[in-house]
Amino acid sequence: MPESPAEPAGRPPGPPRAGPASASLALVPVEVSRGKLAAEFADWETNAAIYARRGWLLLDCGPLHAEVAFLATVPLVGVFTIPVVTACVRLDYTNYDLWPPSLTFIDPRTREPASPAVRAPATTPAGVRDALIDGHPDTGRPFLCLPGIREYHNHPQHTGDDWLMHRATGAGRLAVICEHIWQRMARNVVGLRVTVQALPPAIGTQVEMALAQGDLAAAQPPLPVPLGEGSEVGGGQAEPYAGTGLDDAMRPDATGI
Amino acid sequence: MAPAGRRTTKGDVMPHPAPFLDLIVVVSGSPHPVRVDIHQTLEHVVAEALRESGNVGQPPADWELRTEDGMLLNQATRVDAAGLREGQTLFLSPRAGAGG
Repeated sequence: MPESPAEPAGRPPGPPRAGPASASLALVPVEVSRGKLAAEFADWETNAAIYARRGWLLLDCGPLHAEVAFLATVPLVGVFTIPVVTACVRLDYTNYDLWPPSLTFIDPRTREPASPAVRAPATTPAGVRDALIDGHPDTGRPFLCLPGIREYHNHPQHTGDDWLMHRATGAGRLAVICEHIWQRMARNVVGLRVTVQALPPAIGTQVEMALAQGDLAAAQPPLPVPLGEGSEVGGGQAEPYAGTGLDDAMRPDATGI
Repeated sequence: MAPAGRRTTKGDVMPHPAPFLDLIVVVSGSPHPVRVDIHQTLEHVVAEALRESGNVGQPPADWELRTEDGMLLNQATRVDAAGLREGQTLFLSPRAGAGG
């Protein structure tokens, strides 16, 4: 087992700041973390058919990592739809579950770090919140700012929300993290947004394409519920996350096609 | 043996649906069989699934119950009103909070 480098004085407990140095720390026997991740893969196998229907693609499963891509069905003209990889992640389970897994968005072809094609919005009582933050202070890469993910817990703004307070709920488990990503970055992809700007001849016509995301709860048929009880699903149209700044944040080239 | 149920005015036995429903609840990725009374709420399903999975003492409100296609179920809904079928798989995950 490699020796742990000396900790800097005054460093708070918990998962380390991201970076090459943290990868060499070995605080949990490798067999333990491997065993826990193997159990995750066994559970995945049990639900594999459902996950496939959801568009969860397990691209790679190593002793301490998993790579998962998320497919969304994007409607085009008429009744045609195309599957689009809207997000692809690598989860590193080093020192799990003393540390939460580390999440990196990757390119599904090269497996190198890359920005995802969509944002990660969700409707909350406080309004629409985007969990995709564009630059982690340690890596400079986009990260998913949700409990159960190492980049959340080692972010300076979340030092008061320790991983160990979430560990017992399974917040770092493979299926739980995939559920959050799917809800925020694939299931809510409702179509393709095309913007055409007719500008003076010197500039020309500009066409922008982006994946459109919306609140699917508004598009679901209401469940029959007893009189006087509320429902968390509505009966209207899918509501785009318009006016939240999320549309502007979508990259025009982020179509995945 | 005659099927259980009540007799109609014509004397025929009208079978009534079983008062229990057997579900599979996938708690944080691990499947657990749960038998529930259809007259109880989905909150009871969540509590039972949490108990089955060893998450004893955790409030159901901190968890989200969803269908296979990801639709969020209201835990105040009664089981018989939620449109669930025998053997259906539901997914239970800890709430992620607002994020960001």
